[in-house]
Formats: sequence, C-alpha cells, structure tokens
Amino acid sequence: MPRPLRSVRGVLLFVLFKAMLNRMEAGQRWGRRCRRLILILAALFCTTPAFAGRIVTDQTGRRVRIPDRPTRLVSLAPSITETLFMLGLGDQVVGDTDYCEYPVEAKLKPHVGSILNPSLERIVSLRPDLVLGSPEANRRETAERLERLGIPLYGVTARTVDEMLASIDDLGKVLHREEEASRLVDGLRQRVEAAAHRVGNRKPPRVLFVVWYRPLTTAGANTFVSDVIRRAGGEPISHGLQGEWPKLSLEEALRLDPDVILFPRSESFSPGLEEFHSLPGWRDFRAVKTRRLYVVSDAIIRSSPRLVDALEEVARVLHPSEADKVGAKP
Amino acid sequence: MIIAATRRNAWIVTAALAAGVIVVSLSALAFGSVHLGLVDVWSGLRGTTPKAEVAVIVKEIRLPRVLLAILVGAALATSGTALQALLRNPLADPYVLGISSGAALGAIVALWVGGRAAAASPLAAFVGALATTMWVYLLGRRAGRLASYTLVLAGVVTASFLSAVILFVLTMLSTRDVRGMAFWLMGDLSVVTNVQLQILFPIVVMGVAGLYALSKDLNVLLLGEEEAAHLGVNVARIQTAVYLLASLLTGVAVALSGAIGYLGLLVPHLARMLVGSDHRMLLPTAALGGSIVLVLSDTLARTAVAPSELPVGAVTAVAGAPVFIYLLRRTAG
Amino acid sequence: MASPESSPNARTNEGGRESVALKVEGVAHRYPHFELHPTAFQAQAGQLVAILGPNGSGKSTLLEILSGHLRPHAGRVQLNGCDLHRLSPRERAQRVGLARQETILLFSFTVREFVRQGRHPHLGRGLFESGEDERWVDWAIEKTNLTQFGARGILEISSGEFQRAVLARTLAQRPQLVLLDEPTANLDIGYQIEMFQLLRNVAATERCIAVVVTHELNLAAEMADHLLLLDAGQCLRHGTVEEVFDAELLSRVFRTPVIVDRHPSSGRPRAVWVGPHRPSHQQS
Repeated sequence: MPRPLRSVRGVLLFVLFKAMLNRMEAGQRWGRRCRRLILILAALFCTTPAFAGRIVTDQTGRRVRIPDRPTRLVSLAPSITETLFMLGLGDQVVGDTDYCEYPVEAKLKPHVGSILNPSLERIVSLRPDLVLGSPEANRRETAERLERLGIPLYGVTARTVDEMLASIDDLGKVLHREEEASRLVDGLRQRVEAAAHRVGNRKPPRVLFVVWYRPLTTAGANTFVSDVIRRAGGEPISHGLQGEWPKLSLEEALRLDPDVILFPRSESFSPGLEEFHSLPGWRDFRAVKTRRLYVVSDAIIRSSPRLVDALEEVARVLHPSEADKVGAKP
Repeated sequence: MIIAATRRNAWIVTAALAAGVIVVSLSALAFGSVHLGLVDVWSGLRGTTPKAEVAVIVKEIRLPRVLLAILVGAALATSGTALQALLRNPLADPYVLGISSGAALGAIVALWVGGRAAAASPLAAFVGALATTMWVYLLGRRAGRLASYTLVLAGVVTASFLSAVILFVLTMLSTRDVRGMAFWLMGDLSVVTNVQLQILFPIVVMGVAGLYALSKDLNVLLLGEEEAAHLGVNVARIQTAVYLLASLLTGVAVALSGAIGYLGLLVPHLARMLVGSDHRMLLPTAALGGSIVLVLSDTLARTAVAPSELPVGAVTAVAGAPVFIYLLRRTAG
Repeated sequence: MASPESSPNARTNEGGRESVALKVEGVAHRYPHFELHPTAFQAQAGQLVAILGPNGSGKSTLLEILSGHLRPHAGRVQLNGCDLHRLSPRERAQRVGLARQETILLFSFTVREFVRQGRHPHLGRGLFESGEDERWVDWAIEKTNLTQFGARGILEISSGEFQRAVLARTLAQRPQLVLLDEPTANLDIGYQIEMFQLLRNVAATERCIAVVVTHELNLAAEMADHLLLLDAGQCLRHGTVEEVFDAELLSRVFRTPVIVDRHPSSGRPRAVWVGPHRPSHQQS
C-alpha cells in the first residue's frame, strides 16, 4: 500500500475516531466531510490491518490510540532519540529535535526545532504516525496541540534508573522490538549491578552535584541525578530539597559539607576546576581543598541508556580502586 | 500629510486598511517553518489539496494563528488608543493599568494548581485581568471621577505588586512549567482553539465598536477633564465606559496570547501620523493597523529562526524599540 | 462679516427666547478656607461684564458658579429664565461657554479641529459634524482672525494665537453666555486690546453676554458695560465704571495708592498707581 495514501487515510481515520471520542471541534470540522470519504476509502481498501490501531496506556498514564505498526517516528527529546536508535529503530525515525546529538546519525535527521518549542508545521510535514515525547522535557501545550491535530503522542517518562530500564522495555513492546529491548536492558542492568557490587559496602561519600554554580543549583532529591549518585555509592546532600533543580545557598552547601563535588560536562561550563580553588566561598569547601572535584558525563542528566555510562563514571570517581586512581584525576 | 477627518475619508481609510489586513493575512499563511506556495495555501484553505499535511498546516496550524493575530492586534491597538485618550498620556499602553500582570498571575496560579485548572488557564487569566481591572478602578477613583494620575499610580503600584507575587509563585512551579510561562509572558499566538476564537471575535468586535461610538467624546476628553465637562461631556460616565471597554479588550487579548508588548503603545502613534488625533478616524486606523502589524510580527516570529520560533512579543519589542526612538526624535525635533 | 443666519432672530433657534438676560441672585459658596459671600448682579444681552479684584478675592469661584459647574450653597443663576444648575451638562454647554487657562495638550490637533470641538454640545446622533456645524466653525475662526492658522497644529502656534483659538472654540458653541477667565493673561498690549474689542463686538452682534475676569483694570474700564469689584469673597461694589472706579475704594482693595483720572481720548475713568504696594497680613 502506498505510504502517502496510508498515512492520509490514517490521519483522517484517526481524526474521525477522535471526533467520536467527544472532540466536538474535530467532529464539526472533519466529521461530516470525512465520514463519506472514509466510507469510500474503506470500501476501496477493504481490510485495513495496518490501521486498526490499538489503544495503549503510555508511560505517563494517558490512554492513547497508536498505529499497530508505526513506521514514521518523530522524537521530541534527545533521550528518546538515543533509545530509539539503540533499539534499532534509527531508520524509522523521520524527525528529531535540534538537540539530538547521539548517535551521530541523529544529527543528520530532519529537525523539528527545539525541545521546548518544536515547530508543529515541521512535525506535520513529516507525516509521522507516532510522536514520542516526555513530560520532563516537553511542554504541555505541545502535547495538547498534537492531540488537537490528531497526531498520536506517546509519553515516555523515567525519573530513576529502574524506571529508565522499564521505559526501554515498554518502548520495545510498543514498537515491536522486544528482543532488542530486553537485550539492551539486560546488558544495562548487569552493568548497574556490577557497579553496585564493586562499590560494595563502602561508606557512601556525601556528594554535591552542581548543575550550575552561579547561582548554585543542584539536583533535587527525586531526580535522576540523585538516583544515579545513590546507585553509584554516594549520598546526595540535596535530600531535603524539593523540586527538580533547587537553588542552594553557598552557606547552606558549606554547612552540609560534601565530600565530593560533581559537575556535568558541558560546553558552557568554562571555568576550569582549578579556578574553584580561588573563588571566594568555593575555596572553603573541604571537597575543594582535598581536590575532590570531578567533571562527569552530561548523560547523567538524561534519562537515556547512556546514563549507565555516567553511572559507572560516577562510581569510579566516588570509590576509586587502586587501578582506577590513575584515570580518575580531576 | 495627514488625512482629514471626514465621514468619507473614514470610510476610505477603513476600507483600504481592511483590504490590507486580508492581503497580509493570506500572504502570512504562506510562511512558516515549512515552505508553501500560494497555490498550496489556496488549495489548503479550500480543502482541495491532495496533500493532507498541507491542509493541516494551513488550516489547523497557521489559520488559527493568523486569525488570533488579527483579533489580538486590533484589540491591543484599540485599547492603547483609548487609554492614551483616557489618561491624556501618549505613553500609555494597555498594560499601564496592571491588567497584563493580573492576567499572568491568573494563568500562573492555574498552572500551579495543576490538573484541569491548568488546561483552563486562559479563563483564569481573564478572571485575573477582570479582578485587576475592578481593583484598579476602585483604587483610582477620586470623588466619583477617574482622575488620570491617580489611575496611573494605582495601575503602576498594582502591576509592581502583582509582578512580585508572580515571581514568588514562579519559584514554586516546576522548571518545565516555568519555561512554559516564559513564552506566555512574552506573547505566544500559537496556542488557541477554535472555540476560543469564536468567543474572542464577538468580544473584540463589541469592544472596538463600543469605543468607536464614544469617539466624539474621546476627542473632547483629550482637551482636559474640566474642558470636556464644560463642553457637555458626562465625564465620569465616559471615563468609566472607556476604562471598562479598554480593559475588556486588553484582558481577553492577554488571556489568549500573553503579554505582547509595544503594540498598544506604538500603533496608535503610527496611526496618528497618518490620520491625526481625531478618534473617528484614529480608532479604525489603529485597530486595523494593529492587526496588520501583529500578523507581520507573528510571521516574522515564525520564520526568522525556523524551525524554532521566537515569542512574538520579542519581535514586537525588537521592532518596536527603533520605531519608538524614531517617533521620539520626530516629535522632539 | 456675515455669518450664517446671523440675524438677531436666528439666536432664538438655539436660545429659545426673545431676550437674553443674566440674573445672578445671591450666589454664595463655602470652601474650607474661603467663603464667597452672597453676590448678585444682572446683565442684559449685548453687554460686557468685568469682574475685578485682587488675587484670592473669589473671582474664579464666581466664574465657576456662573458656568454652572460649581453648585452655590445659596442663590441661583438664571440665564434667560433657565436656572443653570438645573440643566444637564449638555444643555448647559449649549448655552454657556467657558474659556480659561487650559490643560496642557500633549496631542496634536489642527487649529480647526480644536475649534470644532466647540460644536460638541450641539452634535446630533451622528458621529460627524453637519454642514451647519462646519459653517459655525468657519465663522468662529474668522471672528477671531485665525483663518490663516486653520491648518496649523495647535501645538505650533504662539500663546496669543492659542488664546484666540480657545476663544474661537468657545464662540463655536454659540453660547448665550461667554465666560472668560483672564483671557489676556499672556498677551501683549496690542492683542489685549484686540481681545477686548472682539469680545465687545461678539457680544453686540450675537446678542450674548460676555463676563470677563481680568486684572486689566483700565481695559475693563474702557470696554465693559458693567463691573464688579470683589475683595476677600465680598462683592464690594458693582455697576458702571463711574460707580466702581472710586479712588479710595480701589486703593483700599488693592492696598496700593491709586488716583482716578480720565482717559485722554475716551474720557472714561482711568486708574493710575501712585505709590508702593502696602501688603496686608490679612491677605489669604
């Protein structure tokens, strides 16, 4: 069946379904005109296994109707793009955001714009049959507008390492890549457990994760970052703080007296670690004086499979074994 | 050269500008992150295009935006003109009386409460705007009349206070919602439903028509409150009517599109350069001029950094500042 | 200059009565720190009335009461049989015009648009002025010699011309009673004389009454039919210039020695200052 026709019909049918699911606006606009067209098309194309669609519950708890076999995927978050490629779905990704950089092939895909403000026009022009987004990254308005346009959006969410692994599994089920998913998940889980095993029962050092240093912003207690640190054998000192990226005053941070300070690698992070030895306030941290400042992979902020790389890196840094000491220099 | 204020000229100018609105709007439908020719636009509008995505882009994405731009542009420009007359101050704009802060606070509280309330944030914004209108009105009254300076003071104080409250509530929101609010605070024409447009249209028409019916009195009000009273104008009643109509227009515009700046301040001045200060010519000129300016700004916002978008308020500010400076130099020189 | 329908009878269309007369009956007003005591006088159509007195004597208060916008605590103002304070603002504006120091304008009108505002009380339901309205605007501009300024911006003309424009606007109202608060305040002597002559002329030809508050004692003496002298809220004397221009009275009121002689050409009384001002600690 020719692809364009299939997706045209798919969109029209989907919109009609939406109309019958109490979307009054859609009903007025599309219902009358398209009902006739649908009947004609249905008669012409008889059985339509490709688009019966199925209702699933996405990872945010929404019920959404998606195609049985989606073949044109648009990803609205870099972590989702990474996961899709790792599941071998790279060919079916027809569009991603400007910020999707892993793997390299993702950079070459057509871009739909920023994570916060993707261009709906671009998304529509790519004729996706499934869009994947994340409530942590994308705006509610984007989800609403996609819904109104009748484009199915599957929500992906993960706030801890375990949730991330479950999310990959779930995506594999939904996108018919169960085998690849379970292989991927098993491998990642092994690495996580290996890291935990290596850390063993050593006393977890108190860790301050600095997202940005001016003003001092750290990761909240219920975020990925804190979970990764815990798994890597550390104790994040932000456990009392609410919100995703709470701000911490320098005095309070000094009072909490972390053993280790971690920074995510980023281009905009210009001061070298050496500078912190002379920055007022910062130089008083015991961690600075004992030179336990480290830069780790920025994957620690993303809920993608590369998170496990970051976890291992953090584990190495927090609990250097003799063999690791050479590689763990700040 | 200023076009004199006669009934005939009023018709001519209005018709010409209305045609301008239509031309600009149709052209705007051709622009965006995806390139479409005018043929595509036309067939998309009529539903005769074979490419379904073109129809979706033109009718579902661009057309509501352009319609919203027309209505909001007219509402803000008219409101700005009316408030400049009411306050007898060429620096007045629709937000000087605190309405945009009230609307923003309503929206942000709805976001904070979350859930279904968050989806109804335009309504919450409108309620916030209305409440601020009432509050500033009560605060700004003096012996039954709206003295313009007490009104401005009341508005400025209220706006500052509300901005502080907004900042406070912003710290309670999750980061993602904060980023969403940033777009709203700078103006965002992209989130509108057909139902909202259907509600907006009669309100804007009523507001603009209502103010136009008062244009005789607005002219006299420009001479001064005492002078207007001595010419037989019921100053208190006219002031209240103008205040309420202008606030209604501003409130509903801000509730649906955030606080788009500079439009309500500059379009009246540009219109005055063309047709003078007589409101019988000025109001329709400003209203339609506002539509044209906002459609153009929004088109620029959608295309300048495609596929990303600029908030339309940023475009009006960047374009507005040089225009403002030009106007300043022109009147000073 | 012929004005449209300028026969005296035409005034009855807007005035509604045969004769125009102003009767001020014992009007008084009390402010927290100042009191205007009951004041009364009368004037006939065609007359120019001058209100004189030192600063703070209540001249402007009296004028406000005459305009109908300040309700007196006692007494009433009858214009042509109508109690001014019983009328609606619009009806009042059709009968009474007030010209005084204006609020600063920040918006630009042309002079013609400015004068045209005077027709506001007479405008019908439509938004725009009728042909007759426009003719009265032209007439008012002509009367005040502003024809060549018609298309200029109101912010671009000199203060003398602006004051004439304010007068033109008031005239465009075709009022039965024209009130002016110091219309010659910023004008040079030539303009001052021109303004008073214009007022006399208008009062005579249009059969209306002009009431002028002024500091120009001698101009008032030359031009006015009826004068009032106020001091500290009291009307000390009113009548013709012969009656009011009493040297001893003027010296007392203005706290400056004055002699009264005759103007060499007109023969009217003229006040001449002959000594220094003696400030009184009673001045409010």
